[in-house]
Amino acid sequence: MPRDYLTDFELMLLLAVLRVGEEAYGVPIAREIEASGERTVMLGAVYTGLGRLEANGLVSSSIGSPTPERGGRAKKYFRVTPSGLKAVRQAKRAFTRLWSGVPGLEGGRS
Amino acid sequence: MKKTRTPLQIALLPHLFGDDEPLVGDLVEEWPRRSNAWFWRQVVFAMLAKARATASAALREPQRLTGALGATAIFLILSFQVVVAGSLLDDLIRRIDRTQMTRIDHPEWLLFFVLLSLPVAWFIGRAIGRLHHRSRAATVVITGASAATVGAVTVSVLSATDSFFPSAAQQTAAGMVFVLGLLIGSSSRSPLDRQA
Repeated sequence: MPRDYLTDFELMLLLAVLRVGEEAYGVPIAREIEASGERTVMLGAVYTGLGRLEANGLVSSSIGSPTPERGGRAKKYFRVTPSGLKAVRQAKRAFTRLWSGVPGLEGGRS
Repeated sequence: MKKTRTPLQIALLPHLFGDDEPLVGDLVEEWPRRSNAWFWRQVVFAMLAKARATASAALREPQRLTGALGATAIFLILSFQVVVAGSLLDDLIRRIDRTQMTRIDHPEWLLFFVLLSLPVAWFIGRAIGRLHHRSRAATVVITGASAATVGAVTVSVLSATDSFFPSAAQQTAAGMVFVLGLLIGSSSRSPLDRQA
């Protein structure tokens, strides 16, 4: 049964796919999360998470052409669907509402 | 830092992840920029993630659950067979061969035998995978005979240990490694099979 909320990692995956754009496949998505999210990312977790998002209709995928640097294996490109974009916007609104008005989160860097 | 690819690590990936071409391609592409520790961490995690996904999919679909339970049952039965049939075979060899020339009697060699048994099992498993379509009887005979032989060798290696434990546990663990190799080998497909 599909969930109606995103986990933090699923939200990161959707944002990474949006940031990478046309070239969004496993490696650049993982690199984007590692660079922006300051956390180590497992490629297996990326594909498991994206598979779950695809099953829920939040991303779509297509298979590219095989390339020599990948030993002749094809890339799997991901795109965020309109439903995925809606889910990201909803999450942003929810987080912004939760953030606002909390004295401990105002102004500081830590 | 650019490094030369180790064929063994790369050659192993299709057998571990089968048709998961995008993941295998990503690992091949990214590995030259990363450490060996990164590579093996990714492989182990991806295997666990795959096993978890298979298990949850099986729980959602009873048909797949039957397949998973069947595979687990085969794994346990064959591992049990390695211990029981191996011990019986070893006993038979001892009765026939009164000079006991077949005893290896070096428990410290167990790890070597276990590590050697994995590629041998994989090779036998590949042959069994191909044979399965032609003759089920031959498949059962070869699987059983190879499991019993490995069991007999393991008993022979552990012969210095008289007590049931830990020798039986060690033998079972060694048998499970062999059976795992058999299952991986029989389920892996060669590039020729994939083209067909």
